[in-house]
Amino acid sequence: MPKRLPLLALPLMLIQELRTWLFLLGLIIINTWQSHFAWYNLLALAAVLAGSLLLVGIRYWRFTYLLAPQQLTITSGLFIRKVRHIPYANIQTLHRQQWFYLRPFGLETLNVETSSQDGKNGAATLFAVPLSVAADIEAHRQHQPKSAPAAQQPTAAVPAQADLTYQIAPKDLNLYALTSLGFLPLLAVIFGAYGKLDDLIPDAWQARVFSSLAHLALLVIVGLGLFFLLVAIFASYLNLMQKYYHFTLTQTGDTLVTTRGFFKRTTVSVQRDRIQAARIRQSLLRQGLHLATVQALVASNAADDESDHDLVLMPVVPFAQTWPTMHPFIPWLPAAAPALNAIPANSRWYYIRNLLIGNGIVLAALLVPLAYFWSQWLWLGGFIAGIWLVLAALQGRYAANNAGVAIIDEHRLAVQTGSWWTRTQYVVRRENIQSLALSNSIWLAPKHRCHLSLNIRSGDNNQQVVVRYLDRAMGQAVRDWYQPADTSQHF
Amino acid sequence: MQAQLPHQIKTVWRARAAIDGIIWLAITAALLICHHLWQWPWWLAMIPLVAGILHVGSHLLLIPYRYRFWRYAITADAVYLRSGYLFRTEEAIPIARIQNVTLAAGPLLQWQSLQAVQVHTASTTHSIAGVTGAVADQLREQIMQLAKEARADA
Repeated sequence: MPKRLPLLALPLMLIQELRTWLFLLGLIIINTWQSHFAWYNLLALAAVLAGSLLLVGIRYWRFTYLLAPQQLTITSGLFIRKVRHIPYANIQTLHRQQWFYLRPFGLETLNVETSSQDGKNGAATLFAVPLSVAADIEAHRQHQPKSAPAAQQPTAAVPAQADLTYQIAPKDLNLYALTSLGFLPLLAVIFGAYGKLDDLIPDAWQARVFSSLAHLALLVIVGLGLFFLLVAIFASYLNLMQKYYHFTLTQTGDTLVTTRGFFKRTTVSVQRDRIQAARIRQSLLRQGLHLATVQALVASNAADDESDHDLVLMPVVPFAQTWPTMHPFIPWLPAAAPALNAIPANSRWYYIRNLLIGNGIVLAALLVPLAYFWSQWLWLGGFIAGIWLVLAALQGRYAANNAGVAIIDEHRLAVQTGSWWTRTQYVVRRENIQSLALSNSIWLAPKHRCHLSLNIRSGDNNQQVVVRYLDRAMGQAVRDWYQPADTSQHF
Repeated sequence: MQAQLPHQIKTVWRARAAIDGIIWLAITAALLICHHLWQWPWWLAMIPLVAGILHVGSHLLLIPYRYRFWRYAITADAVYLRSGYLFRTEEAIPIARIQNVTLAAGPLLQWQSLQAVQVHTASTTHSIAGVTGAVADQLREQIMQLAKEARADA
């Protein structure tokens, strides 16, 4: 019997709908404010609200779902009736979000994601459904049809016994939040908001404030900058603390489940064999503190924020503990750090050279008009360009020193890169490498070097992993490892 | 098996370059007319002309090079693509990773009775610029057959 969503889904759907109108809404609200609540602006606001309410109402009214024995069936649409069939076996990730206000009702929002690259149709969202729905789907997925209506308990979402559990230590989480660079984008947002605020505050006030502070101008600007920086760091810290609050990774049979979040409890479950690759990341800062982050690349959008599609398996773990900690959860990860074959020392300068050439061309293109039109600022531009080039050279050195490849065994490969001051290591199984390319140039061939690039599915996209100026024999070895039957097919 | 693209592909590439050239010329002509009618600066028309000469010229010059060094091979396990001489790349796409194969032919390819082949994996797409109809069908059959066998094995 197809079921309708609970009534509580309505406000959630409305919020989601209004989010897509956020930009327009913001514009109208600012306009309304500036025009001192003119009737036409209020009318526009009312129209947008009423329109989305109507849309959401219709969508809610026409939306039903059914947990059939083999598949989840979702029916929706007013004029175009749409029936989506999602076989349980094809579900890549099950993503559950429970905002704190849904907790008393025992409801949660469920995202079912498949590997279909057709983003919107590959996924289905069930708003504010009882916890038992996720438990049922999970049970179907693990080929153990649910026994009785026993799964109705609103508290026990995953009734099965966990085989293995790892909960993040508060100290580690604290370090993770402190070493995040997430405040940088936040800082941009704050400055942006300040710019907008600038438009809203009457000019007369501003003029008065600025004239009274004019003699303190530099101090005020520096102080304001510092203040914003501190606010951004603090906000980013709090955000990460609440986001990864009580982060827990559990393994039940073949399913890995991560649970986290204070205000919004987020639970993501993925079958172990659906993981395309594991990614171990360390920014320069965390490298210094010997901390690492472990992510899983999966063939669906497992993360809730659009900026990062990859499932976090371990927000922070002491680097030395990465492999021993992760190996029990994902048996195909090595139990100890793989011994990487680094870039030959006499080829590392290529990385520096390439970055200097690339950045040098761009900087020259910027400096020429500067010299022509504003020659009095040339010294400053040249100074900044010089610092930039030094940083580029250092980044090149960093990338060269961190790049490497290791063939772990006939099924597994480890590849490490160092871009944007972040060391990233991938461990991938042979069957998850979609394609592989070796390349070099006529000038590089006599030096016995080549570039290796791997393509791995990540979210709806392709994650290309490239290691440049690898020893050619090593590159060929990886290529032969990938296609052992055709070792004769070489350049 | 290691195959070169059919020689007709050179005719297709040349025709494509010619069409590009006509488009650039049309833009140039339009700007010249504007110059006559509304006294737009004449050098505005030179921009598409120079861009067109560079674009089409480099294309035409590169055709023999591209043709000479482009190779594909299909073995029991994988599709191999190889290109370039100054900068060379060899790609390996295991048959078992191939999700689907697309054959497509626009007017130019049809005129030369060729078909373009696209091989899709779960995250990448690889193209063979043009093959004769017979080879295309054989290729598709082979890839589908191998893909089926690879699935059955797994």
